[in-house]
Amino acid sequence: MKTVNPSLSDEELSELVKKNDEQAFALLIDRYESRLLRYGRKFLSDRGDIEDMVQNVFVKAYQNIKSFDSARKFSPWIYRIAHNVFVNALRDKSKNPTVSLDLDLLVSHPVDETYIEAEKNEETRTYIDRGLRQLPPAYREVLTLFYFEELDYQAIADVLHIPVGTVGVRLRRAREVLRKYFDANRGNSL
Amino acid sequence: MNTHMEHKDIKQVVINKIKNKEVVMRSRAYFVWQVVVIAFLAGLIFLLLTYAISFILFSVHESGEQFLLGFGFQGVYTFLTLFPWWAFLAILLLGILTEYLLRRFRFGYRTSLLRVFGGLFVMAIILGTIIDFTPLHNFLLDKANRGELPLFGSAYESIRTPHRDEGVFRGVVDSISARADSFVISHDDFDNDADDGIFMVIAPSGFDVTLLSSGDRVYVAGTSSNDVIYAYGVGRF
Repeated sequence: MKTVNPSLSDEELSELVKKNDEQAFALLIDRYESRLLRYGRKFLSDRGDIEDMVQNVFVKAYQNIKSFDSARKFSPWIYRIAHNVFVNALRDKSKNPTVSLDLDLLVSHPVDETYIEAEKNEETRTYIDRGLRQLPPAYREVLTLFYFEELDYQAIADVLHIPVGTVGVRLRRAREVLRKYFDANRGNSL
Repeated sequence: MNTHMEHKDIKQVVINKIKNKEVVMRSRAYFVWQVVVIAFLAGLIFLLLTYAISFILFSVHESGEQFLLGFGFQGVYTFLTLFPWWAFLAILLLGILTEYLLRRFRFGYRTSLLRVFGGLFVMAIILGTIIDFTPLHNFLLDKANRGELPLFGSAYESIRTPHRDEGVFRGVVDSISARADSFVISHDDFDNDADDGIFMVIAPSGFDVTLLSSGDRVYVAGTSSNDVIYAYGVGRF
């Protein structure tokens, strides 16, 4: 049986998948399965549901792989699919789904990635993970993508379909909400 | 724990589905068509938006309602009363729809909502103004007056609808009084109906009636009583 070079990049693997290489797709599943399960666990608690949804993400990724432009990064593309699957699941589970306008999307915000990049360490991650469930989904998701999935601002903007400046604003606000939560509950601060 | 089992299960299920043809890859043409259709729809809706803006511009100057803006507070109030708000609402809806479609593209979601919305409207207003300078709307208005414009006919006919209840009159100057404080107009809204007639217009204070000549088309705003209009504003087309 033909084997796929495991050192190939995600984007190179996606090109092979487009040529019906199932082994290449299996390798992509290997690379993203645990990441997507972890991503899903930040939003849903039922393990069975999360596994079904991650499976659904891979099915959709395979069906739509020819829409992926391999000149771009693969990870934002598959996280975008996962985002849609999880958002739809949350909407279906909600008894009163509401549509709200995010005011941060209305105007442009300057992008400042530098001050926060230095804090991507294990200690910060543990700290954030402890309070993540207290945050609204929009803040929870941006923190998850940045600190746990290690996507940069550009990639997060592509996953969430929001301007890059809004990513920074959401990150800052999420950290403020988290800080207030810990200040109020344990006296900790970030 | 059983992380390894979960890992294997999902992969096996998905790969089996692919092997059994339960999951099939969509063709490249499918996505190309999807983009083409969305781009076409966005373009079409943007054209409608541009057309609606040009229609409002045409409607305001063809009806003479732009004169109201120079007639003080009462004029502005009447202008807002007569403004084709339905077209304005249609423009807003078309703008929102265009923005919704554009957000499917990278440049659309990477830009703030207001910037895309503002950009769309600036472009639409520029194009709408250019269209307003072309004979398109006059051509359609003529067709509507002849009853040959079924789709937007009523919208065009409404441009010259008389608004006597709102104190607005259009007509042609027949004569000017010797004291230069009033003039006579034939009310003419091109439909030869019961509201056509002859009115004496008492000019507002400060208005130089001698600037008018017989045959001028004028727009008069005021209160009427027994075929006499006490005008608070007069504009010449």
